[in-house]
Amino acid sequence: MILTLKDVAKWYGPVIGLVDVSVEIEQGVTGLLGPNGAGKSTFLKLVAGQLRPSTGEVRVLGHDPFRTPAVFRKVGFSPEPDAFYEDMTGLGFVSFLTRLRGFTPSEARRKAQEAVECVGLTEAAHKRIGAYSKGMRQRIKLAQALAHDPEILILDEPLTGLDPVARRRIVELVRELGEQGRTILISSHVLHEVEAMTPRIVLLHQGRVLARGTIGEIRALLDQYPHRIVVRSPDARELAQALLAAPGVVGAQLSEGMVRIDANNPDEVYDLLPGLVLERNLSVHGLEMADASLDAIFEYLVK
Amino acid sequence: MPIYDAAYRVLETRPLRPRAPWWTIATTMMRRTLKRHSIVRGLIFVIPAGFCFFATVVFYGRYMAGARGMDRALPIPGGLDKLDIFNMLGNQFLQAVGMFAVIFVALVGAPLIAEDHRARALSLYFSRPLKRREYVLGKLTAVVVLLSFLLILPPILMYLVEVVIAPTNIAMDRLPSLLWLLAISTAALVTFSAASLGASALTKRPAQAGALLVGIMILLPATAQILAQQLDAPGWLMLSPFEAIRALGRHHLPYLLAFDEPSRMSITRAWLTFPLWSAGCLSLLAWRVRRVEVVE
Repeated sequence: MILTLKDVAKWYGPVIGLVDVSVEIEQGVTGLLGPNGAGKSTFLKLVAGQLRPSTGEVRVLGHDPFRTPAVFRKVGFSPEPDAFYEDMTGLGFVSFLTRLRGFTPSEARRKAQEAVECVGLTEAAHKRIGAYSKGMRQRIKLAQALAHDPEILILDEPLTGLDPVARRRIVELVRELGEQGRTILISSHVLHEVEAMTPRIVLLHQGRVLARGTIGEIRALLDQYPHRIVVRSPDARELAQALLAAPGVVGAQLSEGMVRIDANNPDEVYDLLPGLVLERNLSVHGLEMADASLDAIFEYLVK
Repeated sequence: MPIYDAAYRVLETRPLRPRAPWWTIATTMMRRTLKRHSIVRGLIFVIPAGFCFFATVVFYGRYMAGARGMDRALPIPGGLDKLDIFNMLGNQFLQAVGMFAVIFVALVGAPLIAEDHRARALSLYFSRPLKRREYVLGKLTAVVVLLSFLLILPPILMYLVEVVIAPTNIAMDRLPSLLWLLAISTAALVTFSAASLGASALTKRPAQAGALLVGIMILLPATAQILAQQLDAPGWLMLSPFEAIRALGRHHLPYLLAFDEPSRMSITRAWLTFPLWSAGCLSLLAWRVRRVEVVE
């Protein structure tokens, strides 16, 4: 396993950061989700060797990252808070940090240039970091993590402060790197951002792992909450009456031009619906799962 | 996406340890310091040049009989032949440069680690294949190299000036004095550099670190003098690197016209002062850096 946390806890004096966390992270993109204060940054810092666990064991490629700096030849880390020398240029800063990985000055500069280009910051590369906007700072942090082409990428809230174009670019880049077989651990409290990058998530709340797996797997585990299916139709009332008679459907709620169905097994509803529509000559304009999104799952889990 | 193919294979074939990352840190810190602080630039260029000018015009020119380019020498009681100008100037240098060195390291060295705390740059250093002692060594090297412009370069220039200006060949005669002066300067150089980083590791505010260093360097010599006098125990003078510098200067660079009182500090204690100070400061620094966790 590439990243492993076993019975890990971290306290900051009397304050709990993480409690009893045991997680294994595989290749590909994994989203680390949770509200502010859930322990996401603590989790990432433990993996990135910035913190020592109070109890338990953290392993990156089989090594303790706090005690084995050599492991960072294959790891790139982008911290959440700004961490810069404001008087340096973006390119100079990334080159300097890349040289610390063991590259010669010319190699490091070339790699830094490529990384800066990769995050779309070529034009501002020679400006002082002190003059950078929030989005540019985010991108330069990402560039320093990417420049040495790491096997493992640890990104703490990398999309914060980015404009929509840059955000899309970074999301695509993360997905692409994941498809190439890199291991990427990315944290965010904005659920749809993570959803756009990966279906595989670890949900944290108050320092504990609430759930982990794909979004579908986690949703399927929440048996006590019926799945919500929204059907948009001008014949919503008739559709609701027909569906309520179906087995597994536990409720329906009507509103203007749509009906929200609560069903224990949504697949049964999907199987039934085409027949009903044809049989009764109804119109359906749209169909969606209302609570398969991360937001909804998260809401259920923290209840 | 060009960066994810050939470059990766290059990385894989490299040795596991990066080559001298501490030197990368040192050179980058030196460049940044020189770029940011005009006072540091000024001190680096003014002190050696100014000292050379002072040596040439005021001392050698006035006191050295038959000095090249000078019409006459100033009469000195005791005879010109016995007056060792290099040693006299060496002592003047050691007494004057101490305070400059403290101001210099307060500007250059004291912010180096405090600034990393404040800028949260530690999170970036410690997510590199970099041992913590390499980080410290890099920072220390930056201060040592910059401070050597103040403490090492002037004695060498002074020696060269005397050799060039003297009416006879005195290069070999003066060499032992130069070596003693360089030994004292080097010991002071390492001590002041270590002290500046020690102070830097104690706080997150660069200005506070500088003030702390200057405060310690001013208070400790005064305390050392009082304790040594009141308790009649010269051992307390080891608290003051300045006193050690003075004692060593007077012992290893003797000259005729020394009017000030010789130091009460023994030579062994004076030489021991530097390693003790350096070891103390570096231990403090290592202890602070080793246990650093990047919490913020």
